[in-house]
Amino acid sequence: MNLESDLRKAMRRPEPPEGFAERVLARAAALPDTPARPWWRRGRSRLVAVAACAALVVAMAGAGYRQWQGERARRKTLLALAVAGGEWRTAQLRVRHILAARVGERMENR
Amino acid sequence: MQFGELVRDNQSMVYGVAWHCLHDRWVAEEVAQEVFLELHRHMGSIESPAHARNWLRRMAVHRSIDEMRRWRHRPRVALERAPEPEAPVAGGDPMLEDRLRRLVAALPRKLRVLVVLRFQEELEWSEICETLGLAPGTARSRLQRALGMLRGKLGGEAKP
Repeated sequence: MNLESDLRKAMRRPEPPEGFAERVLARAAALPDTPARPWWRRGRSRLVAVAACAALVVAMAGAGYRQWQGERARRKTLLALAVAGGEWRTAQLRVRHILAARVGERMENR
Repeated sequence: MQFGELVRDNQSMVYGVAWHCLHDRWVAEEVAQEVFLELHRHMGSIESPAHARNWLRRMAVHRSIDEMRRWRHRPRVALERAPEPEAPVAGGDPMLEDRLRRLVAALPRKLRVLVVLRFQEELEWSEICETLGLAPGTARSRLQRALGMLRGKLGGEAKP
């Protein structure tokens, strides 16, 4: 004799009394209406909410990327201008220096 | 997922848990009906038939435990005189099974619920612990105690 196996047989689910389901349904029908499931728990609404959040995140990321690109271009332009300005100044000084040297030579020759 | 469908699919489980815990056809039916009406009120939060089944099982166990607690203060019909439900009789020894059902019904309620979940519902340990909120070691030791008591009451017939 195996107690556990005998218990499994003895503890089989009994059939509920005749008409049980009908009695439950009749009592349920007499209850006030079940409150509707909140919108965020409904399948389609949940899907739409997730899609909207994803779209918002993508849009914000896109806007941030564009702003970063613009900022980078501005810095590059400023750097280029600074470099160009610096070179122009160097050339100007060299020309002045050369001209001054030539004037000095002429004075000495006289 | 229709309420009526959930009732028909789970009525045997819910009624069975209540009947094996309470051993009274009328009280078991009342408890089982209340469990389904509670489900009807919570239909909005039920996500799938499997979720509904687990929810119903847990509710049936806890409602039966509540009812057993109330019964401590009520006069009770002796188990020997309690009417039997329409339990399926397929193979096995009907006399022994009847005796075992009566012995289970006479177990302390904490042990009885555990026996019902293990042998009627054939739940895994993890599911039993989740349903009753017990630690695995506690559940196992309680079941061993229940089996020991049943063996003792069967008068040494049911040795492992």
